[in-house]
Parts: sequence; structure tokens; C-alpha cells
Amino acid sequence: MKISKKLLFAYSFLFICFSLSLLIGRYELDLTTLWSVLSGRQSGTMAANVFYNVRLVRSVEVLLCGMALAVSGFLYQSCFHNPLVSPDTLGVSGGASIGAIIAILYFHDAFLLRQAFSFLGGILAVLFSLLLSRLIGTQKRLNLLLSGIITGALTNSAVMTFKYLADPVTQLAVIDYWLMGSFSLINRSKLLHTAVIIMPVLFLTVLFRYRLKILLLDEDEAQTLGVNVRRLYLLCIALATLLTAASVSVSGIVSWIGLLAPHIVSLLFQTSFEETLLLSMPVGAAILLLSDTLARSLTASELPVSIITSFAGALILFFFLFLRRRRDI
Amino acid sequence: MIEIKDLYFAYRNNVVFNGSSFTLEDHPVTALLGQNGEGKTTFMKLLLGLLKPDKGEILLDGLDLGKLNEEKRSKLLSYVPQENDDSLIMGVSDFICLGGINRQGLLKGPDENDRIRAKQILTDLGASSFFDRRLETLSHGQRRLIYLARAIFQDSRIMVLDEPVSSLDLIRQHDFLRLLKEYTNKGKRILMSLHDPSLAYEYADAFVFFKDHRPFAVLSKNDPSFKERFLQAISELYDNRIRPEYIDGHLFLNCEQINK
Repeated sequence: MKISKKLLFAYSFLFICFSLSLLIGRYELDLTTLWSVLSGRQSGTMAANVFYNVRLVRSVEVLLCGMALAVSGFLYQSCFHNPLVSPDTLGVSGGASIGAIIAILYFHDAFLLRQAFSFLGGILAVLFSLLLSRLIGTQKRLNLLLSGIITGALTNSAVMTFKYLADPVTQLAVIDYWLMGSFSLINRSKLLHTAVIIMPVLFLTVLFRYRLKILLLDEDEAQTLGVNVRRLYLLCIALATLLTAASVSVSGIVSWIGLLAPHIVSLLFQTSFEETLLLSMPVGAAILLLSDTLARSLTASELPVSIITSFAGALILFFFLFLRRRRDI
Repeated sequence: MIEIKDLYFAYRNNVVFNGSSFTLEDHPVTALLGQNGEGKTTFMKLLLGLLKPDKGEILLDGLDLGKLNEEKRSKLLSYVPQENDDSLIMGVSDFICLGGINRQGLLKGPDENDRIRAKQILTDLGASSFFDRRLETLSHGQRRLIYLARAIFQDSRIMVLDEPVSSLDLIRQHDFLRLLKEYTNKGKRILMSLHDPSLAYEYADAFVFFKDHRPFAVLSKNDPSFKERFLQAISELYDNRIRPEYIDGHLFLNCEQINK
């Protein structure tokens, strides 16, 4: 299959998921109402209000976060030569959790502070991992991975301490909800803050795709081909970290998308690095859109989205591996 | 011509080069000979800039290699490592075109001309059928050819190969070395390490013998009384446990029994 065909296929699927996410919800919108809202004949009505202020904002945010998580997962997997690595390998999620929890516990969960703190927390955790791996020395890739695990354990311990100290009635529930991820508190300004980070970073990643591909090679080989591997490596980590931190800071921890999307792409289509990168975006976004739609429409009160992504992710991955096995025989 | 001046290098406590100085004259094919762990790979990595000397310098035609950045160095030296990464998942033509990554620019992938060149290189190597294949579907030996193709694509002046034939069967070893030899007809230079002195004798023009972490002999086929000195060097290399002799212009080696 040609890349243009694969992209058309993936983006059509994304378009369907995006439309479903716009239509389905507590307030039902059907296609005719949607059309009249879009053509501006319903301004000021409830339908228009729901569509523009709630549904559209949320769906766009979910779309962006899905793309960001999928791409950052793929970048980390490529630069660590390890297919099991996920966006929070270097401690992004842990750091972001600490930031968010500090905002919840000590700053009255003030508007936007939670987002800013968790974003910074995520970045700081990765810098800490980089510093640790510097201290350990040699064997760069493996060391950084191990440093990430150490950072993850430390942040985990801190998160548990905070939870232990939190007021069980008011604060603990908020913390837990954050740790399971949800897009329910999206508004326009949050969307704006994530979009200004995620969109340019995705653009840069796509722009530099042929260069980033070199990370698949052994470090010595890449260097003798004339590439400054260290700089490239840091660029890759910076891009992936910004994507994850921007996404996690607005939604809390959404698991599995970063692991799932690139694998589905490579199981579905036999692709090159740059194609997997391009295809992971619509696939990650589509999965997250479906999950979020389910999370807010399955039950009377809204479910945390990681419940859906973890469950569906496990099923989908098994399904694809099973299909591949059948095909191999 | 490669000049090594007063080279010091150590891995933690393990000193590999302790003030070595020697010169490699310009020959089409230069072979590095020596037992395992005697510094051949380290020497190649120092030359390629993958390791930094603790002291001393390596000059290529008077140019200090240590002062060049990766990009400039990649125009002078290409590298075929000893191990291929068997986990690499990539199309063969994509992989070969990576050899020209700097010519293709920062934001662009290989274009139509690159593909045509990659295909031509594979055809010259007698492996044109691999062009549309994927790396992960090739055997270990077939991949050696693809790595060679990438190094040829890189089009550097000197190609450095670490034990290029150690994992190939006998016939393929000769095929591979013959291809390398042909490649030097276009003015390119080969520097490689080899385990088998008789293969080296057959295909190389100059020889560096490593022992006790130091090159103890540098010979070329043009040297006066080359043949005798070559035999002496081999005997010394293997502590007289190998008896080399020439039969019909080829080098044969007999290994003595271990526990006599």
C-alpha cells in the first residue's frame, strides 16, 4: 500500500472517531442539528452552546493529546531501541503528578496552576533523569533508561506520601481522579495552552523525521554517517518530553496510548520510521477520542479515561498480536 | 597516508596504546592482523573518532582527524562495524540511502537519484534482488552486503571494516573480499581487520601486525624481501605456534597441536 493510501485510511478513521465524539454525549446532537449549528443558524441556542463551548473544545483537546502521546511514545521507543518503552519512561508522568498534587494540596487547586505545575514537574523529572544518567556515565541509552526507572520510583514514593498526607474527604479523591486521567475539566484556555506547545512540537517532529530516523541505528554507526548523535538524542528527548508534559498537564495520566498507537501502526502496515511517525498521530488520536467518548457516555457519572484506555488497549493489542500470529501460520 | 603520533589510549585500567607511533602508507587495501583483544578494533575506533585518544594525534594526509566534526569526518571515513544490529527493522533501500544522510539535507529524505544509485550499488554487488526487501527478512550474510552497500553509498575516501568476513562461509569470504578489492579500483581505500592471515595475504597490499597492544610490524607487498618478513611477522604474532609457508604463491598456515 502506498503511504498516501495509508494516510487517507488512517485519517478517514480519525475523522469518523472525531465526528462520533462530537455527536455523542449527555446532550445528544444529531447530524441535522450539527449542520445547522455549523452553518450558524442556531447561534445562542443550547445546541450551539454545547457544541462550541463544550464538545468541540474537548474533542480537539483529546485529538491533540492523542497525537502527542502516540508520537512521544514512538520517539522514546525509537531512541531507546526498546519497543516496550512508553511516554513516561523518563519519569514525565511521575514528575507531572507531583506538580499537580502540590497544586491541589497547597494552592487550593487554583485555576491553571495545576496545569503549570504538572507541566514543570514533568520537565524537571526528565532533567533529573538526564542528570542521574550523567552521574552514572558510559552506556548512554541503557543508563538513561535505568535513570528513568529510578526517577519513576522516587516520584512514585513522593506521590504516595502526598496521598497519605492528603485530606481523605476532599483532596484524595481529586488526586486519584487526576492520576487516572480525565478530559472533563477542559476549557478554552487550557486547550490554548496545550495547543501552543503540542502543535509546533508535532510540526517540528514531522519536519525532522528523516533526521530522527538515525536514532534507530547503533550510536557508533550513526556517528560515522556524519551525525552528531548526542545532539540528536537530546532533541528527540526534548520533543517527546514536551509532548507528554503538555498532554499530561491538562488531562492527568492517560495510560497506554503511547505504547499502543505505534504498535498498531507497525502491525497493521509494514512501514518505515517516517511512515510510522505520520500514522501514529491519527491512530493515537482516534483511539483516545473513542476512549474519551466512552468514558463520558458509558455511565451516569463520568469515568476516568485511563480505565478505558488500559482495558481497551490491552484487548486491542492482544487482538492484533493474535491476528498476526494467525497470519504467520 | 595515515600518521599515528605518540598515541595513548586506555579503557579505565586497561591500557591499549602506550605512546604508539607508526605510519600507514597509501595502499588500496590495508589489513590489520592480530589476535583478539590486541587493539585492532580500538585502533579503528580511534581513527573513526568513536573513541578519543588520551594523548597524541592521528593525521590523515596531514589533517588532524581529532579536530574534525562528524560531518567532515564522514566524508573521509566510512565504517562497517563487526556486528550488525539484527533487531533493526527497515527497508533495504532506506537503509542504504542513510549513507548519504548529510548530502540529503536536514529535512529531506532520499530522492529518486539516491534510490537509483542505491540500486546500482546493489547491482554491482550482485544483490539487486534485495533492493525491495526488508532488512529483517535477510540472513546475516546478506546483511553484511547491505552494510557494505551503505558504506559505498557514503562515498568516503577510506572504508574501515571490522572483521567484515568473520561470519561468512568460505566462498562468501572470498566473494566479499573480491568486491572490496574491485571497489578500490575507483581510487577508494580499504582498511580492515582480518583474522585469517592467508586471506589478508591474498587480498591486501599492506599489513599492520598488532601484538601486546602495539603494532609491531608494518609491511607492504612492495617492500624488499616482503615474503620473508611477512612469514616472520606471522610466526611472531602467534608465538611460533603457527607454521606459515607459501605454496603456489598462496599462503598456507599449519597450526601446531596444543598439548604436545
